[in-house]
Amino acid sequence: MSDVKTRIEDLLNQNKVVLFMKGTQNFPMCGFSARATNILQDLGVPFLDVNVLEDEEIRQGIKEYGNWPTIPQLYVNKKLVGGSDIMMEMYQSGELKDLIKTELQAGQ
Amino acid sequence: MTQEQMKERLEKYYPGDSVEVIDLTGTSDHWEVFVESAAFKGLSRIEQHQHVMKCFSDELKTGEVHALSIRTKLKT
Repeated sequence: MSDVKTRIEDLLNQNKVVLFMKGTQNFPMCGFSARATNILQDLGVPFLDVNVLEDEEIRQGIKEYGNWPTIPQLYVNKKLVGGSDIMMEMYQSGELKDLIKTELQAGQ
Repeated sequence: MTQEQMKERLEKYYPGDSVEVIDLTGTSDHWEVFVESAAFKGLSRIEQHQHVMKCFSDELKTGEVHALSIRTKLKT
């Protein structure tokens, strides 16, 4: 588990917004991943898309890392935000936009 | 799992609470569940979702439950 944990932490350390998803932001391969991608694109938020379909180790490792068993998963500033339904709820309430704005500014 | 089995599983973990199970695609592996329970007291939204997912941790691992969309409400 340790090296996948390090790999995950490196990804999270180097990227403010990371979406672990099936497929890529240009070619999402699953409905929920597509929905998550659309939300971030609609908010105009640049993010790293990690295609778990091409990395089985990360696909299993990320589920254990944040105790979240499904994909997609959104991380902002190394913190798990949630899956596509939490993203949708927060997107609709405007909470997601505020969270990302605050977190991105926190880093500057 | 069948809709009935999903419902029974939730009722086992949330006795006496109102739970709903919806088969999103008719293929018995893309589910939406709704749980209103006092067990969510003090839990953040994400912790509430993790609380519900724990009920299906095996099925989520094997992929028997492929997708699980969750809505939770704190019963006051």
